[in-house]
Amino acid sequence: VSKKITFITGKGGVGKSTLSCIVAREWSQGGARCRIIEQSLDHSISRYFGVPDSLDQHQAVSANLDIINVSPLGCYQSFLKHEVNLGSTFMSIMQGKGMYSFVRMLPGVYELLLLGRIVFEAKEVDHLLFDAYSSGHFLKLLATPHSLVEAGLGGRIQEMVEKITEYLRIHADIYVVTLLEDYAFDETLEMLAGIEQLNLSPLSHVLLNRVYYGTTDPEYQKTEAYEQQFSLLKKYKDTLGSKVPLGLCRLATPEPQSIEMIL
Amino acid sequence: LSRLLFMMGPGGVGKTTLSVLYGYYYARCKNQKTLVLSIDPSKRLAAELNLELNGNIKSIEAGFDAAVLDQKAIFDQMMERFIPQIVNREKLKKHPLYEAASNHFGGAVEYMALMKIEQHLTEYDLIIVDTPPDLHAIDFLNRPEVLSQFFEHKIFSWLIKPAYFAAKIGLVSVASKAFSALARIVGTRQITNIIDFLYHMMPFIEGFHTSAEKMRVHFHASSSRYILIHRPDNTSYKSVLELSKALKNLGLKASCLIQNQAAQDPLPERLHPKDFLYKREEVKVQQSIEKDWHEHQNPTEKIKFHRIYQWPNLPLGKIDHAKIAIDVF
Repeated sequence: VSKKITFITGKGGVGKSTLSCIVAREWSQGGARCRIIEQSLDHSISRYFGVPDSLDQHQAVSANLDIINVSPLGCYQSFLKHEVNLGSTFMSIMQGKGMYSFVRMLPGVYELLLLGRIVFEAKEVDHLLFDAYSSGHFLKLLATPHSLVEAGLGGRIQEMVEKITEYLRIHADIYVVTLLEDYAFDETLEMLAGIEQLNLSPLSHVLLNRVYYGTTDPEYQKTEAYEQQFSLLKKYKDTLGSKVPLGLCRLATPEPQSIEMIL
Repeated sequence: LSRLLFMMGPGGVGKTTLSVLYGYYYARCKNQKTLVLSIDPSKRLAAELNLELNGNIKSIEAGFDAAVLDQKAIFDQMMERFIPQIVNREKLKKHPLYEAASNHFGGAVEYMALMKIEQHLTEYDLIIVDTPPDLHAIDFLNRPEVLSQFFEHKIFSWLIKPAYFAAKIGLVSVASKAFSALARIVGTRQITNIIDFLYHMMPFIEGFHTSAEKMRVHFHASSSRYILIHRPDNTSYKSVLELSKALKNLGLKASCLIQNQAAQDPLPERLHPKDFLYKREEVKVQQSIEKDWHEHQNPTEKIKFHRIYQWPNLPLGKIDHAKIAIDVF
């Protein structure tokens, strides 16, 4: 029961990239065409799947799954090509280095172009996962379209903002990945409050990563940490209430290869 | 001027914790007047040190201060600095674009981080900068270049200024093709609005550019240190390798690689059997990473490798800093 676009966010180091890969692989094995989009320096998604590192090019992982690492310049070019239909004279001006240096310098522009790219990339597939930024930068990213309209921008930008906002409202949800640790969970609560404030109304889920509570492994059941995880789990569940769905990703091995997901 | 120490790495490797640890270390053990500044909007430093989020500097103890960047506060301060005439300033502040740029837009925080560091350059012996996770740290270090590209292409003289005056006399139709192209994208009325805003903001943007250039020189100074932090797992190691490459592309050089949260080697005897297997794997991984690092170094510009073992769970002010931290200067 997943939406078309899934943003995967959370505090740094909680396993956003790994979970993006695992979830996408599972969905694609179920027959859906999936795509993962990342914007990163370290090509973590392509490394996970062992496909070549590249920028702004789709890399096939399997028949139903491909990935793409996007760059600011790539998003700008994609915007010019697919979102604005200017004649060739205007196009060559916009593609010039000078104009790009102008656009690149302005705050807020890149964030919009990235969101536009995400929506664009989603159209060819059943599910698109965005291995998104961690907390603070992620909220800024989502807040950008609204801020642009508030700031009084119009024309194609306004159309684009409306299109993106509407699309995300209907087709996107957000998975906030976190851990069974209080400091991580507190940040998650802040994050959820931030998302709610944005009024974009995509659905949020909380995914607890690296949980071994509930495993049938008798060795783990004997440990003190097992009991501790249970009480934390209960506490977090009560805190979130029924409003925010909570999922668990059980850890099978130190380097997770398979994860059991309950949503 | 302050020496700069940048803590860099992917998320969750301990950048903030090590920033605070090194803050204590340089203040207490090396007698340096130290500021730890977090430019990461995740606010981890604030939680760690009980800081307020208003950007104010808080004294943690003698010789050790800390602050979290507040984008809006520093933006307003910079307005006062670069646009001294109150009338002009107040007019700009009422512009709808001002609120968005100073508070809401992504990408502005990196500019503000530059300004904040520059603001305190003369007050401290050492500024430790807790950076946002990987890519965003490079984006921050690259901001002076982004600004200088804008100036190099003389956008102001061929686009903004003529468009501003054309609009003033109501002759938008004679404005440049570039202006017309932009008008089609953001709307005719709106582009005039944006141009008007940018025209009056130019002293501000120029001020930024000057400060950013000063920071760029400082980034390249021999007293600046870039610390790459990873955990003993291959994913975070790959990330720091990419960071190291990205630094090189900016003409900067990593000072050392820290392997944080490493498992004790040899392993302590009292371990749960399952933990033992897990930890033994960890030790193997951490050793293989070290080996790989040394093998792939260019012998002429070797970057040091430091390992920091997991330390007891104590408040950061109470641990033995001299024993854990390694002097990177």
